[in-house]
Amino acid sequence: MTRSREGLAELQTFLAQVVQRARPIPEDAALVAEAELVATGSARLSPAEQVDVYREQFWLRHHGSLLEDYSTLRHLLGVEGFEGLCRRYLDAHPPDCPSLRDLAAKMPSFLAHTDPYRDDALLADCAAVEWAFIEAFDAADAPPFDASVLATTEEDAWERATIAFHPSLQFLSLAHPAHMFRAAVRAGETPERPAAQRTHLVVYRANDLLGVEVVEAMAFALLERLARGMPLGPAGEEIAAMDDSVESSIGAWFQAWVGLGWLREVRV
Amino acid sequence: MSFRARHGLPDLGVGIGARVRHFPAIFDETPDAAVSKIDWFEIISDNFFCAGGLPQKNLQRLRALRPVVPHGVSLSIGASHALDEGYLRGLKGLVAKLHPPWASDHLCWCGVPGADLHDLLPLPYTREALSHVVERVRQVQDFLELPFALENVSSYMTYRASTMPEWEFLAEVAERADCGILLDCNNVFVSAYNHGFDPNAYIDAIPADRVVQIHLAGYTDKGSYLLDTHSAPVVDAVWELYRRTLRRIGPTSTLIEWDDDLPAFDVLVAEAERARRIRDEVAS
Repeated sequence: MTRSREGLAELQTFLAQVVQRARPIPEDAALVAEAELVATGSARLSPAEQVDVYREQFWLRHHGSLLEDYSTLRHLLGVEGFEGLCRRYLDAHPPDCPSLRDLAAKMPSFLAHTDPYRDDALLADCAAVEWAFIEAFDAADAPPFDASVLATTEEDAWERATIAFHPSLQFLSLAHPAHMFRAAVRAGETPERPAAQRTHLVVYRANDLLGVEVVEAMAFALLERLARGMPLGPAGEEIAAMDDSVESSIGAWFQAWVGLGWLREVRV
Repeated sequence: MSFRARHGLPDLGVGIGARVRHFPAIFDETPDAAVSKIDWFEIISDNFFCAGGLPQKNLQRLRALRPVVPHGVSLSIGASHALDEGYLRGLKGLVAKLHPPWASDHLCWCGVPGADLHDLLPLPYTREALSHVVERVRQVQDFLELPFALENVSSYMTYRASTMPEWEFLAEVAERADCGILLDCNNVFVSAYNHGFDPNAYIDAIPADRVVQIHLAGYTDKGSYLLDTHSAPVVDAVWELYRRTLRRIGPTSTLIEWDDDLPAFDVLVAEAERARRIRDEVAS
């Protein structure tokens, strides 16, 4: 014999489970019976239909949020394919943060590790670029870099110096130039799939504007090491060991990074 | 002494929910700009917990223009699990930036551990839920060190377990927790239609001295129920409820909400102007 559900925790656990389901509640006889234990129904809606309003809204709200964040994925997968992706993503990663802003955080990793999506690296690349823009948009602010430190730092101190970058910087190493594809889709165009091409990107925010820069491989390798907190001396040596021709380029790279607003502080 | 008087809560006049797409019009500094007819802004608290960037700069600009009141959608005051401390810290940080007269959220629950539904689900109106919410409102108010107001939600289901009507539940929560009420006239209308109760009875049962703010918005008719979408003008029946509310409680900070299918800014301001005319008419 079934019993009515009355306790707050029990009611909420039941409803949280059923509103996340893909199938309408009135189409599931077992759930119709369960809903009748919870809801009264009204003159116009049965108990199952009442609960189903929340199920439908759950889907529309979260599908809409994922679409807003990942319009390039819908371009690649089509409307039905994207809906299927959203269902599978929400099943694998039920929303668990108060803010919808964080709903899509695990999409790049989901696409990179889940069949059949992992067979198409462009999907994960596009998702990584989309998410990087979201992260860069509302990352913490930082005071402008004091470039005078470059002139006043003694030469032997540079070996030990560490670099703090602007908190908005996002480092991406991709199999495709997905940033160009994203830009075209966001501009309302219908671009062709880009050919595979190893691409290193930095997505950043400067003067409240978002930007993306393609970075050559050795410069990217140096950036990654510095971002992890490695001092300039050892980081430069590791890069030079990979390609001894880059040593003369490091000064020019730094100049470019300062110009782009990427540096926050040099800690000597 | 009333809740409003005890806390010195002002009548802010008529405001609008500040939404990003309207920021160019809101930040229009020309003397006769439409925004000059708006007395205050409400923001969705949750959208401004981020560390930096444009959202924080826009928040500073809003605050420099008019009073800004934070209105949350994710506190989940009625959830059976513990309050989210991180969320509360985010809200307190926002309060420290805005210095608002009060903060608000909804009388609802939003999820269970591991699943945040991002919706405002109604509570069963039981003694258990009532005691639970009262205790949590006290915690929130003590933590924020600020008057806190609960908004009645629109709802699409009613629980078998409920033992009292929503308006009794809301009134008793407010009295026992000693908090304010954000009375959403559109939500009263939508829920009354969906559940077949008299919206006037709801308005008349709310403790007038605890209403710190009123919400007005539009809904979508889904055929067999009304859905609170904030995507349309306020309907005449809701304007009538607003008029009835003001006659009971006097001039009260009023806010027009519009979130989906955002209209031109002038349309939103016209809704605010209509609210102002009704306020003036009732006051006279």
